[in-house]
Amino acid sequence: MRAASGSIRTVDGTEPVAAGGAVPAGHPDTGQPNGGRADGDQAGAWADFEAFVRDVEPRLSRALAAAYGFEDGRDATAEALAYAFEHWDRLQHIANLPGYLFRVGQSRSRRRRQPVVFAVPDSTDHPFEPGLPAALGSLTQRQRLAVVLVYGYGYTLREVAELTGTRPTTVQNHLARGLARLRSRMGVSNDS
Amino acid sequence: MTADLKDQIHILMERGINRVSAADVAAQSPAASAFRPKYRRPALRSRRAAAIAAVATAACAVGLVAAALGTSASPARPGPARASLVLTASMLRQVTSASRLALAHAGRAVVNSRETLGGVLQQTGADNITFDGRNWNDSFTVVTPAAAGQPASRESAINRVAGGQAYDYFVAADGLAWYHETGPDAVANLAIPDPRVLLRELAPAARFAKGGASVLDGVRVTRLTATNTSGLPTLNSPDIWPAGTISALTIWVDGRGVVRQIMVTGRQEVKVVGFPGNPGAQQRLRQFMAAVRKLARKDHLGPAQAMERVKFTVLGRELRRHHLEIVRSEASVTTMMIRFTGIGQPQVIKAPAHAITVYGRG
Repeated sequence: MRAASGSIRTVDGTEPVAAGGAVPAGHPDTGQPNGGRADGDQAGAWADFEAFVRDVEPRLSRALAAAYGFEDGRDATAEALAYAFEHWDRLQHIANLPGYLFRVGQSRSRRRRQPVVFAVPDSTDHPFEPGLPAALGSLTQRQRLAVVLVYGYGYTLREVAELTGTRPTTVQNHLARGLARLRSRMGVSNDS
Repeated sequence: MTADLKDQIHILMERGINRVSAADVAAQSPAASAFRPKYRRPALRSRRAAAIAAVATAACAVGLVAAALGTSASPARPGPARASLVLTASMLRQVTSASRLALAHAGRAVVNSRETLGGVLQQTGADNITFDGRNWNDSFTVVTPAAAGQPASRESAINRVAGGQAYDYFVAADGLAWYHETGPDAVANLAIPDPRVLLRELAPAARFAKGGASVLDGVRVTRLTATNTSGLPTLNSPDIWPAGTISALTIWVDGRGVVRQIMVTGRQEVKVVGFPGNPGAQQRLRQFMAAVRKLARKDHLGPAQAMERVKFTVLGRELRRHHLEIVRSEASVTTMMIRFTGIGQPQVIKAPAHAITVYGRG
């Protein structure tokens, strides 16, 4: 394990940052979550962060991809997790960290204002209606989140409400309206 | 196709979502820190570098791209090499828009191409393209090596559009001279390639990864390589040169996010036809193809159009008496290197002083 090189300085009084390069030092290959810790603690922090990413990233990726499309959703997820990486000491004790990072991803994506795109590589097996990506893109962002997470992935209303910072009844309303609009756009009256 | 809408949504999302790992986050941390300048480390920089960085943080989004590309004044991190940085969609959009803006009106492009068939060199070409608004000039040379009894050839010509009129400089009925083409589609028929179209097609799905830095025309540039060429759907269109599937795409970007050089490789399976066991017919076929190439160059035709015309000549009729067979399938590989220079600088492109007016082509 390579120790943090150079001096430790404190930015705005709260964020200890390891000096020595653009990436927080500590991890043998790529750096580690910030903290200015001793080597043993740094290894522990990295392991914690890796476990956190394994646990939270699927939810965050799905939610942000549903909100902003695949490419911008990935960017938002990467930026939200990068924010967690750099503020790990402070953030790891937050009760609803996935919800917090969802907001971080949203605020980082707000400036882009690009059309939501659900483009996937061509395949020969045609596993979904060709009009589904465009129909999903036509929903409002909240409707899309509810439809994708609750309907597509089977999350509970409460889980989605926690992630998006809304009430379960609000999610339910968006789900109902979103599904009605989706079916209308795709010209189907039920799921089949 | 699954009948259940919820399954369809699930499949669509799972096919489209690109996962982010902890290692990705750590590797992309320089990009993240570019958005938050307070985490930079001025203590390790010279005063000048710190001043440059301060200006960079106050600069526009293109500056942020530059920092993310590693072309800012920040020193390299000591220690083990980092994993390649994959450009995010927003960074690539910045590169694309900065390049389109810089090359919107004027500049020069040198295009060198090389085409092989089954590993054997078929043709090399060099285009020196100058553009300024609606005026264009393409001075090009095509070299065909000697093969199958045919001598090597080298042909040069100039195609020019000035003031909405089409001119070309090549050997025709009146010898080597400037010709003023006055046909209805004369400008379109010149078909001067616009290398800037490639800039419009750089897609985030191609997942450009940062490579090393180098110096090009005295400018420090960063190499970005597409790691997923199937993510370039439009470039894969055979309508765009080079035809076939794009098998490699690399761009070199300067500190402002402007593309300075592009290297693109296209690959296409080609059916090679011939007359096995009939040497006389094989010789006729070579003559036929040489005639097709000559007509295509002379009249600026596509291969299919040229072939249609030659088919009805004496040579074509004689050839059609023999039974043509597909001998084998070979890979045709075209590599193109495009270098942009004089970016944004006005170019002088004038109509030739003396040009022979001709109507139509040929």
